[in-house]
Amino acid sequence: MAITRILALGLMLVAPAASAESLLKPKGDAAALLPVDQAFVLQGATRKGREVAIDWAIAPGYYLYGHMFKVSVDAPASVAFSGPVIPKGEPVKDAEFGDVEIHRGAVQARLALPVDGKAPRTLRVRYQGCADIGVCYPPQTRLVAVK
Amino acid sequence: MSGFSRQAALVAAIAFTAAAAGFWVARLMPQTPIAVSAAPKPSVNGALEGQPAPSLSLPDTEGKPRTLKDWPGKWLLVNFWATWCAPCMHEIPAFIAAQTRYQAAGLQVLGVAMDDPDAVRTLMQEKHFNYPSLVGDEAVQGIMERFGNTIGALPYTVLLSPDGVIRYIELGGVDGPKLEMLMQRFLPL
Repeated sequence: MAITRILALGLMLVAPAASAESLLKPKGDAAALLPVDQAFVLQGATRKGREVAIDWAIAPGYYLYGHMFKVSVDAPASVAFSGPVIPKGEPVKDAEFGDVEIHRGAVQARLALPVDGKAPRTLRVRYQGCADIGVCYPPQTRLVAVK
Repeated sequence: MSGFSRQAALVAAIAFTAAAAGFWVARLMPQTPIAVSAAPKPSVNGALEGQPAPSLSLPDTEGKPRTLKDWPGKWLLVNFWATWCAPCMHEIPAFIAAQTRYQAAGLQVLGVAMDDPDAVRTLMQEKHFNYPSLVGDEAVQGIMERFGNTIGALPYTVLLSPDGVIRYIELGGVDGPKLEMLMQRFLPL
């Protein structure tokens, strides 16, 4: 039918328009993204005996890189530790960074303190992560008190 | 269907098709030139589009202070990036290709790295950058905010017309087809 053919022609013309519009439309929306401290909530550092655990809660749709966790003692400066030990995460093969692990939901980094050493009062913690929509947040460095 | 309603449907279909085609063509027509003093066009993708770009002053990878005025008369495609940002790495080949293809049309890609200068220099050599990059750390964060990126995430790309007006903003990676579309949309080709 003529009307059917005309409508089909109309759709053919509109389809590329929609495609062009979607290409020009930005993928990311800053208003839809969480501020970094809400995407990756550093919940604190807790000492139990000779071990310190540092916990993060990670919002859905966001992840932290396993290889980007760094911890150093802020005070007292003389305190030594081994670690951080990061649990096995979700393996990801990235075209640029190769085989990496990411963490979703929650992650805990653990430090082992020497048996006869002092305990740290404050730690300097560095971490970095991204959002699934394809943007990444700069590495974050925070001072955290050890409870 | 009666003859009248068939005619009405036919008229509606033609009107719809013509309106859609007209809208599409109007959106994709190269937009040149655009007077700075004119009222900002309705924002397509962000509140800052149509507004004059904020100032920017950062060192390049050789430590030389640079501003946007160092590239007069160019369509500046300013890409905020970092070596730790996987989506930023993925889009670099598209920027290199765009610089090659559209340089003659007045395009200048300009990286702005939120990173360590040594890491940036090394990566630019590895990737065979054909465009310059400025480098900074916290200063870049502040500049991005002035360019509308209040969340601080990367990559972030801003297209400026030669008159220094923001024409397009993209949060997140851009690929070859998208850059091609942007160039066709904005550059005087």
